[in-house]
Amino acid sequence: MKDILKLTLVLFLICAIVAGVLGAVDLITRDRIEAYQTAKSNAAKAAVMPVDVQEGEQPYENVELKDLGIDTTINANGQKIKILSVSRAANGAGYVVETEFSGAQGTLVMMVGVDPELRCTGISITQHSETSGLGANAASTAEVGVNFRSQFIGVDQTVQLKKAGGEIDALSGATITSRSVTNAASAAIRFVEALQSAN
Amino acid sequence: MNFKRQLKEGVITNNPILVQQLGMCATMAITTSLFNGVGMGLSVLIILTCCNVVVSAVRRFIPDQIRLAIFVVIIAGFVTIVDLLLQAYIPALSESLGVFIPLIVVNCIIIGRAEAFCQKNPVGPSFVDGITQGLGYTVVLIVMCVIREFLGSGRFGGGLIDAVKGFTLDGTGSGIQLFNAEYGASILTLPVGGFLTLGFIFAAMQAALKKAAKNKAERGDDEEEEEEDE
Repeated sequence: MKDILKLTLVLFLICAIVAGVLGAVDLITRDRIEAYQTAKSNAAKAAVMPVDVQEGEQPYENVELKDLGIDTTINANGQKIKILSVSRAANGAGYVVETEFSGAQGTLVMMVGVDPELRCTGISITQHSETSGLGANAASTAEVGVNFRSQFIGVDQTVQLKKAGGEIDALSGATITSRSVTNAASAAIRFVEALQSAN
Repeated sequence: MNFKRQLKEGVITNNPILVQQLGMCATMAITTSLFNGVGMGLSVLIILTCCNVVVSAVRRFIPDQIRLAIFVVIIAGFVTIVDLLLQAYIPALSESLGVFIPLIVVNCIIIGRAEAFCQKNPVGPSFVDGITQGLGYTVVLIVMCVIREFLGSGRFGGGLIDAVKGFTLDGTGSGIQLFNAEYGASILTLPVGGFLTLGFIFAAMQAALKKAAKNKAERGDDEEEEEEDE
């Protein structure tokens, strides 16, 4: 009995000390981490929908999806696309939709800018695990990636790969990735359409 | 236990990866650019040194039955501190290493050293052990990064050289392009390339150690003189 008490006490003491130290470190680093996360997500949004705001103004405002009553999973050409978040850009420039979907290898997260006329203003892939040299080109900053993504500027919700009779050139050797990116862009535009008619 | 001998053990004869074969998962996953390799190596070095010192300092107060639980709490504490600091001050590194920083908690090098060394030795040698074993880990990561980066995409020093030049630490630079990336064996940049590279380094290391042992046996007399010189 005495033994158990001693064990418990020692373990409790060590845990309490570690927890205290972690609390202190968290206090020091929290603001910097939050500022970085906001800056990063704003940069990703600015890549698909640039907005000019005055100093101190928030360029993007988060839209609460729960209150809208719109289904956040959209079926685009047979593929399920999940809507993670939607932000309203300042000055009525439109919306930035964050989508999540499966590619050839794993899950991709992509930002899609949609203007009030339901045209895509750009896409930006923020997370992926596609094959390097093939599907990963969709997210790369090299010419091949930039060219692929720039095809999406101005498309509407009927966007398709050329193989399916549309306007998008697939990345060579990465049809599955290209198709899922195209579907996600289409789903994002359709979501904004539903959002606008709900308001 | 002097510093020189511990250094030799940590980096060569008892290298954590090549001889003890610990912590290989992260090794294979993150050695794709020199920036990652050096960042991961130094993170492990710092965490290992801190944990070694603390474990060794409290070793007399820890009941034997719950020592592992306490080691894990201490290790997890330091890993979380490093993780938070990286997120706040070197976010690019934190992002490219991703889950492998939190996973240092279960990295067997650290718990292995706590169990095998620090709970039997005083603070001084444990501190030195953390630094030398951490260096051994870092050296192997650097070698793997250089090989995989060069053969895989024809580059050297991805992210790191640009970071040193511009003091930016954003890890975005592509280093020095030595030959066109199209001619690289891109398999080496994939996880399977990690297995291949590590396998070849193991083989080279074992061959070298064997040769050294054989030489030593052949000239046993010379060896004794050398020891005295030290």
